[in-house]
Amino acid sequence: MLDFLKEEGVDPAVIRGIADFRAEHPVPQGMADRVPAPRYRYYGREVWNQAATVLLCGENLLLAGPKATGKNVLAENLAQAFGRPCWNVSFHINMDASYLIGSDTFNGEKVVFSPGPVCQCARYGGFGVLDEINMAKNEALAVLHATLDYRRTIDVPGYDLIRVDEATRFIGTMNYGYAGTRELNEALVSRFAVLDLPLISEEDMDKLLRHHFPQISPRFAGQFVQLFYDLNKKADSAEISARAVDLRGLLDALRLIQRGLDAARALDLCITNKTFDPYEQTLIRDVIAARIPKNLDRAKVFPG
Amino acid sequence: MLQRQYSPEQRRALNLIWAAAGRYDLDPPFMAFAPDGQPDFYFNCVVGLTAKWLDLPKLEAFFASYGGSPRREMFDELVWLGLENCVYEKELPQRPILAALRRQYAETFFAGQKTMSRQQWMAKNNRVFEQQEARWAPLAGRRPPLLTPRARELAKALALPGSLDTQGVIAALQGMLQTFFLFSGEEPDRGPRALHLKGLAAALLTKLVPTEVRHTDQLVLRRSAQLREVNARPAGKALLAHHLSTRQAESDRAYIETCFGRCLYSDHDLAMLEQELCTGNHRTCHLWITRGEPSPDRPSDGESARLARDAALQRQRNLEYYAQNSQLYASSIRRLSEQLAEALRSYSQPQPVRTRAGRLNSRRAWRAPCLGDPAIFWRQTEDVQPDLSVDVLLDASASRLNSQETIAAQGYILAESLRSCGVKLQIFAFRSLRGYTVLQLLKGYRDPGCRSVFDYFAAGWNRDGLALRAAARLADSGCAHKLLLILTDASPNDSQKIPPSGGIPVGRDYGDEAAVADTSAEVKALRRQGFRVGAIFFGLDRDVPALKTIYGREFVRIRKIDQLAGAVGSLLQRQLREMD
Repeated sequence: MLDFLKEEGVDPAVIRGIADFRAEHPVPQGMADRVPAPRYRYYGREVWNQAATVLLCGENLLLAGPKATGKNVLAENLAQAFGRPCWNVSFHINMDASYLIGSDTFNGEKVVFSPGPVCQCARYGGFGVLDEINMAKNEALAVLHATLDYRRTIDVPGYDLIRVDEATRFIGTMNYGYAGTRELNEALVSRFAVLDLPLISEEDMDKLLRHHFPQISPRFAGQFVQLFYDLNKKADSAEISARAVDLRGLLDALRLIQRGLDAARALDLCITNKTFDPYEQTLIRDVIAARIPKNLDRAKVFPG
Repeated sequence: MLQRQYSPEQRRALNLIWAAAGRYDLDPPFMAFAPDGQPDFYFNCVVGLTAKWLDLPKLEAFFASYGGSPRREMFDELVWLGLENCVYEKELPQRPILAALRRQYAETFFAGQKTMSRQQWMAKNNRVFEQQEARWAPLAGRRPPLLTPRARELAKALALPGSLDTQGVIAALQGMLQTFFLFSGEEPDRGPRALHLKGLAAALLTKLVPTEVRHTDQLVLRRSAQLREVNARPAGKALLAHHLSTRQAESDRAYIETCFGRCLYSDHDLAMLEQELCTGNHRTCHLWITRGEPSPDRPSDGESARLARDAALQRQRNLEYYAQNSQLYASSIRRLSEQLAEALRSYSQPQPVRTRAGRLNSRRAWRAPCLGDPAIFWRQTEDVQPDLSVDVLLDASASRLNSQETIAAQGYILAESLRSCGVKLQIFAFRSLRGYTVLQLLKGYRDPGCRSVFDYFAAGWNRDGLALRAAARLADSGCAHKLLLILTDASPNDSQKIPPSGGIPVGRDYGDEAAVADTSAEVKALRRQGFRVGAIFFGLDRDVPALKTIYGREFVRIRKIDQLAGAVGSLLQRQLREMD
């Protein structure tokens, strides 16, 4: 991973910092499986520099940005780069303190405390990814205040006071203004450094495609990149929903083409059909047809 | 093939153009359609690419230079043939698929000829057709047509190279028109002829042709087909100063009842309601709450029968308009429902359920050791009923005459979307006439369907302050959270003056600053009562300051009336996000 950061041109001082952090905080025993091995790399030198610096300084990080900006990919990449076990908590509206910290359960003999992901993360010095943090009600998040600020403690009523390990960091992700989200309150936001993630750049997306599909024809790689931006613009203008702006879907479609499916069918499966509205599907197919020939097959996309 | 008017498939054509241009703020001068009415894929891309590569305003000025010529359509076809070649060459390196799309277009061009009728052949301009044939034949793998030397030169002149910039393109096209058609750009613009009539002839023609209706205290329902495109312009409030009101209480009431149907309240209840609401600036006003059902007490005279016919006709137009675009609207309903359902899920009420882990339920703890029942804990789960009601007030004053069908369709989209999310919704249309502020209930909280929204029609004035006050009073949903949303032009106006009050000894017109101040005070009062009041603004730039004075920042501005439902959706989401 550190080699990848070097290739990306990340500041050498930051890379050194990460290496030192790893040496200082080895992976706890039995936790190696929890260190993520992400399928996708996050491309973006500036973002890497900023995010890694925040974590090296012991701060928590809030990644904000619209769909397909790679918030979760970056969070996993960071956990891997820092060599930390990772707990991923998907937030929802009925999230409450017990879901995060832990709750009582009956072990056959007595009622015992079953620790939640935040507790585990604090104990083992992990990276806690608080996914879509603004989906939860602010009251439910108040329990995290002491964990996230200088006190670095979790007080479980009726049980011990848990000290947060020195290597623990929390990375929140949020899509501001997304349907069903709420305003994060000031108290919570002040406990994070907020990093606005941009949409992946054309250059970085091209790198991503070539990394995953080394045999892809440069000409068609460019067209698939442009297709993603065309769809994104259309969704930004509210002509279609954001469902079709799916970077993962685009990569999946390429995988299907590599397996032998023609482009029209692959893109239908992985992009167009993700919206269920026939009219919207027509608009999406129009965008695709203006970039990708219908009968495009494996031999043309992957000439190698 | 190319036309200046929008077709029912315009949105798809526009999307093709926008996608090719890479920008969505574009109002293209042309859209391309195949003879079957479907958007032409390739040529819409060409229009979009023209906007991408060339300076569109300059080109539009060029199009306008021959806009008055009787040969305009032929010039359009030839100019676009020239532009096609130019932008094709410019874009091809970035979009290799263009070559295939162009070839496909050429093949379709010749395939279409086989199915053309004799009338279609006769309608074709030979000079254009031979140029099109010359362009597309080699691409479709056919032998090029035999051309005269002159026509060959024209074909060459139309193959504009991709290296030209806008100035170069325009110069080349002007040269082509000059050389081959002797068009110097000085043909007079033959605009629509205007005829001014007075007296009997004017009266007769007013009966026969569509007319624009302005605010008066006489209810008239007519519309002007030509005004559809300029529906952003309120249909004039100039008559305010000249308005003469001579009314008598009983005849006014009878007039209102015959026009709008019987009141939902008994005389006694209505009097009580007026006593409660028609105070302050509105103390000389009256209210009329109706569903538009004809009154059995009032015999139908000639005028009311005509009005009933006109209202029914408007309903018919609303329904037909919706039916024409039903596919697009069904899609809007689905999308809006989805967004709202997601947003509303945040406000569902939690319900405790028994589980095997969670918070210990001490009352059930005994069951674990005695019965071996591990479900002695409870967790919160969700109940999907949102404790929220929405009241929508649609401005139905005469300023909306030009967009009645669209407003009805948008109201229906909104009503259907909210209904599918289980939100209690009430929709009123409001207008004022002869001192009466009439609230027409288009959809009540308990109405099972939403089709009555198509009863919407526009007429009269708008006394926003009183309408808001009355709608809030009628918002008896029993929900904890109440949203009151209003479609407005932020320009309240009524013929009924504001009566003299302690500070101001003379009566004032209900318009401009006085009306804005009154509406603003009303909105503040409603917010103090716990209502969340938001506005969807569809009006002129000059009224934006008034809008901000009245509604603060709680408004969404729409530029086209067909954005209404989406705007209400986003306003609703914004209000929900800030609600605890």
